[in-house]
Amino acid sequence: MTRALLAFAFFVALSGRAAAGNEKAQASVDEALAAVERGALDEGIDRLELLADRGFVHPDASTARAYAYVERARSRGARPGDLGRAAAALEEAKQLDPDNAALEASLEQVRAEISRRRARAGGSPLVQRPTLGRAVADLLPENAWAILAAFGSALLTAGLLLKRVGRRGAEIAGAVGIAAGLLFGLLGGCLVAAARHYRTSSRPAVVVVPEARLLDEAGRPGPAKGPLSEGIPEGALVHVREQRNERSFVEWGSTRAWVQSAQLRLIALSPHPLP
Amino acid sequence: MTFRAPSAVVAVVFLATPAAAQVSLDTQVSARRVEVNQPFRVQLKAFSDGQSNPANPRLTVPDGMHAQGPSIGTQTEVSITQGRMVQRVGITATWTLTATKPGTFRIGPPSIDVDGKREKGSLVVVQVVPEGQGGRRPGGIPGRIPFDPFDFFDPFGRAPFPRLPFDEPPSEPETPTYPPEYAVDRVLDPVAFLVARAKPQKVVLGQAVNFALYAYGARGVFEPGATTEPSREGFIAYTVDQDQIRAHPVPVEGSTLIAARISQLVLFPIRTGTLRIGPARFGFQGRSYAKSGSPGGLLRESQPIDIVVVEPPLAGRPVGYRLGDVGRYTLTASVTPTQIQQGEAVSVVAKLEGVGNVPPKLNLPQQTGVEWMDPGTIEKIEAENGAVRGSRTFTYVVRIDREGTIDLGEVTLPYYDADKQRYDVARAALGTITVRANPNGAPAPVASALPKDRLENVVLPPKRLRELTPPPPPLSDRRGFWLLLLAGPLGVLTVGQALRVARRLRERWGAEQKTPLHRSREELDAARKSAGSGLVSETAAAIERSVHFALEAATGIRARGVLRSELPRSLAARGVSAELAERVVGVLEAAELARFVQATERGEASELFARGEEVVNALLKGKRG
Repeated sequence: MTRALLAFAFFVALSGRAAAGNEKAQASVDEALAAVERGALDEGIDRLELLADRGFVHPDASTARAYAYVERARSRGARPGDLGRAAAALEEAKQLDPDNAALEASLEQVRAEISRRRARAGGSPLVQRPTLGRAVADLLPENAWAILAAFGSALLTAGLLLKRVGRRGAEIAGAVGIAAGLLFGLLGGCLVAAARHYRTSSRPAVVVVPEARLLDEAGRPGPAKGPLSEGIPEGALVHVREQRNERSFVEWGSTRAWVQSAQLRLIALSPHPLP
Repeated sequence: MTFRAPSAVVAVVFLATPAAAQVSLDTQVSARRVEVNQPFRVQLKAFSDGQSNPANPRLTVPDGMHAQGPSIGTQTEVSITQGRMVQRVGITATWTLTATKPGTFRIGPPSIDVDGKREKGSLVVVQVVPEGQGGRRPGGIPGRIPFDPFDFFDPFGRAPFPRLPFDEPPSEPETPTYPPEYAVDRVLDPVAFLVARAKPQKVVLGQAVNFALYAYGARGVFEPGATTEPSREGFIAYTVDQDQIRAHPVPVEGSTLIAARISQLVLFPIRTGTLRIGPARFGFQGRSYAKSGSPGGLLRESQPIDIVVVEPPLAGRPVGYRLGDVGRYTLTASVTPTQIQQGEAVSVVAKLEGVGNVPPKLNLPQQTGVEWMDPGTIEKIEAENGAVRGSRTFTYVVRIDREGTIDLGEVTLPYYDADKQRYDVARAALGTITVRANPNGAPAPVASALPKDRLENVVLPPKRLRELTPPPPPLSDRRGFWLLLLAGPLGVLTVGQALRVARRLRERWGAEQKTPLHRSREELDAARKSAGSGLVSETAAAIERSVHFALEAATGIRARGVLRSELPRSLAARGVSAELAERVVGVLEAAELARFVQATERGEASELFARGEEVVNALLKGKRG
C-alpha cells in the first residue's frame, strides 16, 4: 500500500514537472510570436532558438520557428539562410508530426521559393534522388516492415509445423507456408534492418546557408564521391553519417562529401519536453 | 611563421663593457631627523653596466657622529630597453651611524670605485635633536616600520642579540628576485629550453586564454635566432606587445638560469572541443649556445598545450546570447536628433567596451516601422597586461516610418562572465523619438506588402502547443523483436532435430544397458528361431554368440579373445568343471564348422541348437537376469 502511494506521488510529481515545463515552453513560444508580430523578428527567432537549445522539441514549436524565419525572409532584415532554416524547422515538424499534410505543403512551397531565388541568381536547380536502398526502405514506415517480417516468420513457423504432421494435405499446405513465410520474412526482415541501419547510422539535416561547399576529409574544397561537384543548395535534406571537428560527412542522393557542420541544421526525430 | 618581434624586444644579451661604463648611484638615508645616540642608516646603491663590480665604498662622517660598516650586498639586474638587454652589476653599501651631539650634520657624500674611477653619491643632511625630543622607539632604527615581517634578517627592527664590538658587520645576502611565473621546478635541458604556459586550460567558448613562452638559458646571455610561433588552429590570437622584456636570473637546482618571456598571446577559442596550441621554436644564439654562423642558433621547441573548450552553460542563458560573447562589457548609446519627420532617420551611436574579444554585433530593438541599417563600426582593441580590452563603436542609421512618439527601446548585449560564471546583459536605453507626420511623403514599401509575395501565409503560426504523447520506439529497437522473428522457425527446426537425436540416444543407451546374461538368452532365442527354420549357419552363429555371452556372464571371461586350446584351462581356473569346459569347446567348434554350411538342414540345426542350449543352460545355472 505504501509503495503504491509512493509510486502515485512520484507519478504526480513527474506529471506536475512536465506540465510546468510545457507551460514555460508555451510562454516562450507566445512571447516569441508576439515579438514577431510587433516586428522584433530577431528577438522572436532568438527566443525560439533558445527554447530549442534547451532541448524542447515539439512540432508546433518547430512550426513557430519556421513561421518566424519565413517572416524574416519576407522582411527588409532578411538574412541569407533564413529560408533554409525555415525549411529545416518544417522538416523537423514533419518528422515529428508525419500525418500533418499542411506541413508537407508548406515545406514544398518554401523549397520552391528557394529554387526560384537560386535560379534567379543563376544557380542550377539541383535535385538529387535518394539512393535505391534508402528509397526502398523509405517506401513504408519502419514498423510496417517490422510487422511484415513478423508475419513472414509466423507463416514460416506454421509451414514447418504442418510439414511434420505427416499427412499429405498438411505437407502441401506446409510447403506453401514455408515458401510464403520465407518470402515475406526475408523481405520484411531485410527492409526493417535497412531502415534501422539508416536511422541509426545517419541523421537527417537541412542545409541552412545559400550553398554548402563540398569538402574533402581534410577540409579542403574538393571533388566529392558522386555526380555532384558543386555545393549543396539551401534547404536540401541531407543525411549526416559522421561528424568530426567542425565538419560533417553527409550523404545527399548518391553524393557523399564533407561540409561544414555550421552549414547544417540537424533534425530532431522525436518530441522532447522542456527539462 | 616568425615572431612579430615587439618593437622594444629582441635581444637577451649581457652587453660587453665599453670603455666608459655607465654608472648609477643612489644614496638613501633612513631618517632625516634623529635623536642623539639613535642609530640610523645611510645606504649607497651603485650599479654599473661594466663587467667589474663597483667596489671599495667609503663614507666620510663629520665630527660628533660615528659610523659602523659598511655592510655590502651584491646585486645583478637584467633588463631590456629599446631592443637591448643590459646586465647591470652592483653593490649596496649600508652604514649605521650614530650622532653624539645635536645639530645639523652634512654626511658624505659616499663614494665608490668603478672601473678604477672614484664615483660619488649624494650629500646627506641629517638633523640631530637631543635625546627624548625625537619621539623615537627605544632601540629602533628610525624610518622603519615597527614590525616588518618581510625583513627576514631583522623583522623587529633591531637585532635580537647585541653585536659584539669585534664582530664583522653582517653582509646582506644576495637573493635574486623574479616574478613567480618564471619559476621552474627543474632544469629541462642542461643548455637551454623553452617552457610554454597557458592559463586557464579549460575554458568556455570565447573565453581568453593567456599563453606565454619563456626561454631559459643556462649558459648566460643569448640572442634570438630562428623563431616560429605556435600553431593555434581554432583560436583568434592577439599578440601582447611588450615595450620592455626583462630577463631574470632564476635559481634552479643550484644553478642560475637566464629566463625571459619572449612571447605572450591572448587566445580566444572559436570552436568547442580540445584545441591544441602547437609547439613554438626559438633559436638561442650566442657564443655559449651555438657556433658562430650557425643559422638559427641552438633551436629548442616548447611543449604543445591542449585547451578544453566547452559551451557556456544553458542554465540562465539569456535570449539573444551568441556563443563566443564572453568577457565583461558596458554599453552606452546616444541618439540624435530626437525630433524628426516621418520617413527621416536618426543616428544611433552605441559604444561597447570592456574586457574580452569585444563582440562585433549588438541586439537591436526591432519594431514595425523602424528600420535599422547596417552599422558602421570603429574598433579599438588592444592586448596589454595579459588581457584584451577595448571598444567597438557602432553607428546606425535608423529610419522611422511611423509618426508619433516612438520608444526605441534598448540595445543589448548578453554575455557570459567567465570569472563570475554567470550571464549578464549590457544594456543601453535609447529613449523616445518624436516623429512628426509628413503629409507629402509616401510611406515606404514593406516587403510583405509587395504584390508577388510568394511566402505570404506559407507557414501559419500555431495557436497553442498541442499535448503530445511520445511515440513508442520502433519495434526493431526492442531486443525481443529480432529474437521473436527467429524464434518460431528456428524453434520448430531445433525441436524437431532435438527429438530425433533424443530417440537415437535412447536406443543406444538401451543397447548399452543389456547384460551378457540377457544377451546370451536373446541369442539363444534367435538360435531357436533359426533352428526352427533349418538355417544351420544362422543357428550356429547365434549359438556361438550365446555361448560367449554365457561364458562372460558365468565366469567373466571374454572367450573371443582366448585361444580355443587355452579356453578349458581358463575356465577351470574360474571353477568350471573340466567336463563342462570340454562340452563348451565342443559346441563352439561345432558351431564354427556349421557356420559355413549354406544348406538348410533342419535336423543338423536342431541338433546344434540342442547342444548349445544344454551348454548355455549349464553355464547359466543359478543365474538370473
